[in-house]
Amino acid sequence: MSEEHAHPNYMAIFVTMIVLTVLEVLAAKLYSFDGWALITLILLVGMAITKAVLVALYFMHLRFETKTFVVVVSAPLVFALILVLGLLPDIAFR
Amino acid sequence: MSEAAAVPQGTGSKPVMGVTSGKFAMWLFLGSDGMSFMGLIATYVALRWGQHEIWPKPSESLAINLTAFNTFVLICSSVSMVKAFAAARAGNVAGLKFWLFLTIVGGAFFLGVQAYEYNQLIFHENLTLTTLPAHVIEHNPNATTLFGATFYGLTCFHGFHVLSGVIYLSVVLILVFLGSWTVNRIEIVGLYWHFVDLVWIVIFTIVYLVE
Repeated sequence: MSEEHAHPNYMAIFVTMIVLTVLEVLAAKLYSFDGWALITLILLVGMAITKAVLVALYFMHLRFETKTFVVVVSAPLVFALILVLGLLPDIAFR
Repeated sequence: MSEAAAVPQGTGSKPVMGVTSGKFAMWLFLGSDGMSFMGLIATYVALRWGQHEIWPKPSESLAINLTAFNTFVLICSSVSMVKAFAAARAGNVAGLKFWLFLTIVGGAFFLGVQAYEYNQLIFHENLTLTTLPAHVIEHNPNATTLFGATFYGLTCFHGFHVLSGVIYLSVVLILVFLGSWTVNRIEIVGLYWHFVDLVWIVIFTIVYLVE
């Protein structure tokens, strides 16, 4: 809500996102030489989620909205998670 | 009647939970749109994880470096969008026009690279909805063609969002030139544009980078 805080340091977020993107590509390329499949997967997904959250919080200003509003717009995430988890048994019992 | 007159009429910006109704509507749309993407992503993960031994490695046929650069361009266009919004809030119309234009250029560039990528994949690599590149089959004779189908399904659905975004931004820019704009309207188009960027970050990682 607070208007005076609605101007985050965009450049710092931009640089963070670029660094994370470079790290992601490097991690993906290093994996072709090593056998660290699971660690690489966790690293990659973790960095992607970090970047996505940065976009939502700062570029889309969610950080500066009211709590009620954040809860309302985050609700679909719960259903989206169910979409993914609902498919897990299909993989597990294949 | 006197009570009704006290409510601002016709502005379309009566606040809901501290935000304008237009912004609220865009967030609701993005929530449902995110569900569509999540459905596609969940399907992709389930199909791929369920048969990972016959799933071709993305780096064998996809151009990772080119797409990483494209990701960079999309992130840059997101930054130019926040710059446009900041200019709008400061009442800097020249800045608003400049940053909006730059955002459109970024989106158009992304689409251009994607068109080039599709052209390379379809006509040079033979990666289509039902076929795989020859070198992939040579390496793994049982490789599944779902690789191509899911790749085009996901990236094309996202590409249409970028195309829609470029058109949407262009309409907004024309309205700015006509003098018909509000800070609220700039913020709403920005929300859509950042969402397209956010989704691409996820798609780039799971489709291109995860081996």
